[in-house]
Amino acid sequence: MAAALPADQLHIQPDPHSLREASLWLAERCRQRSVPQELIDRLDLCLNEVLANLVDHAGPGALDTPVELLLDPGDPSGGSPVCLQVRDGGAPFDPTAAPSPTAPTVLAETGIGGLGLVMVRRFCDDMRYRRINDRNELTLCLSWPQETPGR
Amino acid sequence: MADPTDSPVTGSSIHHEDISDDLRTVRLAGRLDMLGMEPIALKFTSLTASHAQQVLVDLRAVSFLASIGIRSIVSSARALEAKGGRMALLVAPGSSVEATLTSTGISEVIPIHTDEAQALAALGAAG
Repeated sequence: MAAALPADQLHIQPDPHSLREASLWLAERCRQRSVPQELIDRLDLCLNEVLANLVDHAGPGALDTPVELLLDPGDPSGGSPVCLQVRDGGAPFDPTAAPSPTAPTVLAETGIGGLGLVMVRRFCDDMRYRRINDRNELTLCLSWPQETPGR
Repeated sequence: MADPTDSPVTGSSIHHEDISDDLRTVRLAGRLDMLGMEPIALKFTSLTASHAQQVLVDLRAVSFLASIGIRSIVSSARALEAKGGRMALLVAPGSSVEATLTSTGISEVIPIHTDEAQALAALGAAG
């Protein structure tokens, strides 16, 4: 079960312009907490794909409901990861249970659906989902780099 | 010939240059997310998939490549291949764009290069 995160939050409308706002907010907050750029880039990609999927597929009702973003920078020395929670009012959708498309081997047979989910799965280290209070809650976590050699 | 399409609002841009009758370079720049792809997607399709040719898509100035940008690239590459042409991608070594293309498996179906001269030579040889 996803734990409650301390408040470092943003509310946005799910539309393409707000994706940019969310990205800027994420980068600024992460830099304030000295999150490494490589982690910010990966988290940015994950957030963009989750929100883009919401804009494309969540339906008109969900587009009227603000999306809540909560950032927990974790603790690099204590081993707790950087986590971003996305809460939306769209139809129930558990991306952790969605099937992955098969990896492309031939261009002519390369599908263009499901790429966003592939990217989220590849770029985050842990992804948890729950449905709570009629909202989807997705938690994406990335581990801080190990400082000790020979991990 | 340069034919720029720049969007000051979204920060994305597209330029092209014809190296020869059947070898073209298309240079994309900026953040290629939903907002960034909107003003350049149609231009990208017409520049890359209109007729049989070899096309090098330069992504070295792309700061962020979302799935919507990858879908556009794959769609055009497929259309180009169906017409008898071929696409290759040029990326900055070690960039997040390179990591995205590798992690999604796109690098397995569209050749990726980090050196422009080598990429053009490979495409020219293929044509």
